[in-house]
Amino acid sequence: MYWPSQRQRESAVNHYWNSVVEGAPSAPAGLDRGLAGLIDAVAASDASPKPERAFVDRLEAHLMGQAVWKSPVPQPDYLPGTENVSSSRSVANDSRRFRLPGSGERSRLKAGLSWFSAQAAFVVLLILIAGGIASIYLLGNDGEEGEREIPAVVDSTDRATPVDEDVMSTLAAADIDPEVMFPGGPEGWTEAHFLLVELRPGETNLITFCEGCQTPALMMVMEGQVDLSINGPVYRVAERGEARTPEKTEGKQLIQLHAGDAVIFDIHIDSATERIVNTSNANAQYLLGALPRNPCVQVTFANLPKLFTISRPLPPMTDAPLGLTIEEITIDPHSRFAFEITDGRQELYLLSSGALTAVTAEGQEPGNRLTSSWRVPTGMQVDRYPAGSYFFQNDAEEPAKLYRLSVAYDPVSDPATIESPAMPEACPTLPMIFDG
Amino acid sequence: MSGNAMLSPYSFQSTAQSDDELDLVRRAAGDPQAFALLYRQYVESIYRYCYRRLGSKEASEDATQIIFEKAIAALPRIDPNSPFRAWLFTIAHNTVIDIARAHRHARTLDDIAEFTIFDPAPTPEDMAIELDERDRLSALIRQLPDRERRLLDLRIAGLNDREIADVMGMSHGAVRTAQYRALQKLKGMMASDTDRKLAHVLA
Repeated sequence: MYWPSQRQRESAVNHYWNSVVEGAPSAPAGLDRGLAGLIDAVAASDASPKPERAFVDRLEAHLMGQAVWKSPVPQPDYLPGTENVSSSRSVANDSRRFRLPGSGERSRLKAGLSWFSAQAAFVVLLILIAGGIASIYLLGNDGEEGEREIPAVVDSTDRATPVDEDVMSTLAAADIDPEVMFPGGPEGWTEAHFLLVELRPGETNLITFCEGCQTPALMMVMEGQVDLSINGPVYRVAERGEARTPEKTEGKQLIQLHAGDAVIFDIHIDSATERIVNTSNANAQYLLGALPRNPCVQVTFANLPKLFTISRPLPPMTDAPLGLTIEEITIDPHSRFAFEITDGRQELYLLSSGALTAVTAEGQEPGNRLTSSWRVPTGMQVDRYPAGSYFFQNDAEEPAKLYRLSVAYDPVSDPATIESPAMPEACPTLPMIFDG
Repeated sequence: MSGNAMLSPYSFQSTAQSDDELDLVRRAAGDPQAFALLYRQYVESIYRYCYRRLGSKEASEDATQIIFEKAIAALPRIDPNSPFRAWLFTIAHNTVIDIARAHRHARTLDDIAEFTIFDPAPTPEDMAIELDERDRLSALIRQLPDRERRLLDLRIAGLNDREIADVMGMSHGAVRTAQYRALQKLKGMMASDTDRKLAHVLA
């Protein structure tokens, strides 16, 4: 008679269970028939319901809209201390290309709108607007900062970190085709991305642009001070919140930025890697914008206590006045927050702390709900959803905080008629409100 | 936030994975459409796994959303040759634990294991009256020690022993031993007076 050992009994059970999972039950020698029946019963015991179709579709739309598709981080050869950045980031790099603007978009751009310069103009406008509100300190730039070294990037894959940090340590701007995502939007709308990033003292972020991307980008320091290093030219366009004639700094120089300082990156370089280091003893925050039609911005975070990623259509680039408003909204515990989505309205929301739950208010159109929850660090691209009223509730005991970004602009008649401004040397001061 | 094991996309052993899925995983980090196909393939199993662990529609929807958001964020660091299902369920496993811990001001994780986060299970007396045999077995599974219950939940989700080992950070041998013990315990529980009927059916 065959008397299997304990290990053989365990293996027989395991073998049978694997075969049940694969849909082809096969009972090996030594299998306890009673346990085999129990395995069958356990496998059939799942009474959990399928997800509702509406939820599956809504979540898919949400993920496709706010996903952060990205390419690997190239290793900048000029930056010190990057040798130990994990090579694992290069996995499958060839397959991780971003979608470029579609042919229709390109043809429209060729039709007279100098896309690049127009974007740069908008970047400058945006920064100048932002500069009007931002604070505070100024340290002199003595021109010798290029000699300094900045700390090496801490690779989150090489150290013990909380789970959230591990899985969220790299994020990039979303890749959204406005013609697909905003079919009802005004002709010529373009897209922008903003990241509001918080850096703890001593932390470093890398901002990487993919090869071949033509990406004007802005960075504005909201709090604290940071050192910036980039391998291409950078233009300082605001200082201490004051607009200024763009001051060009050649690549590979170290630039010290303080609250209220803003820069834009040279738009003609093929590949740029920006390193941002918080050299102060306090937390620093900066706003990174990539404008527009930019599926390529990649941000690698050594640490990520706070992050927002948003994208939205913006009007065609123009030198017409633009107003930008950033507000912080607090939703008290067990309170409800309502907002309206109106076609063409330039407004969006970012959740900075807490969590909100979508609720259906009385009189609301059935099905007119956003995805069921809204959590940090997920930004909500409310523009993607049909016009109407939306309601969120803070069910927690702690307040939830939102940022609201609003853009006000003068309507533009025909994008093709817009002249292509060169990199502006001076820009008008435009109104901006910041309630922080 | 969570103190449980870190997500380690590189630690997975290679197991059977179709060429199509390998290709999708390779492309998913930079191709939303590829990710969408993976999403459609796994959203139901992830949702149902969350439902088993959390016990309510709202909690399961929230968890499913968080899991796929985390997956998107972590995709660039996945080894495309590693089994995607185990990788995704590792995120799900940790996320469910995080959610449970977020609610532990009201209940401990063990409490949640026995009941649910939002909808406490009925009493044994209620179960005896109302539940059919399948539900009764599910109720007994929820009475197992936490690790064994999690293991069976992953089995029910369709994972094999190697995938479960990856998800739970255990050796294959430990998984085999734990699942065997879990079955023996279940068998013993069903042999008790209150579950004699079910034991008879399964005999």
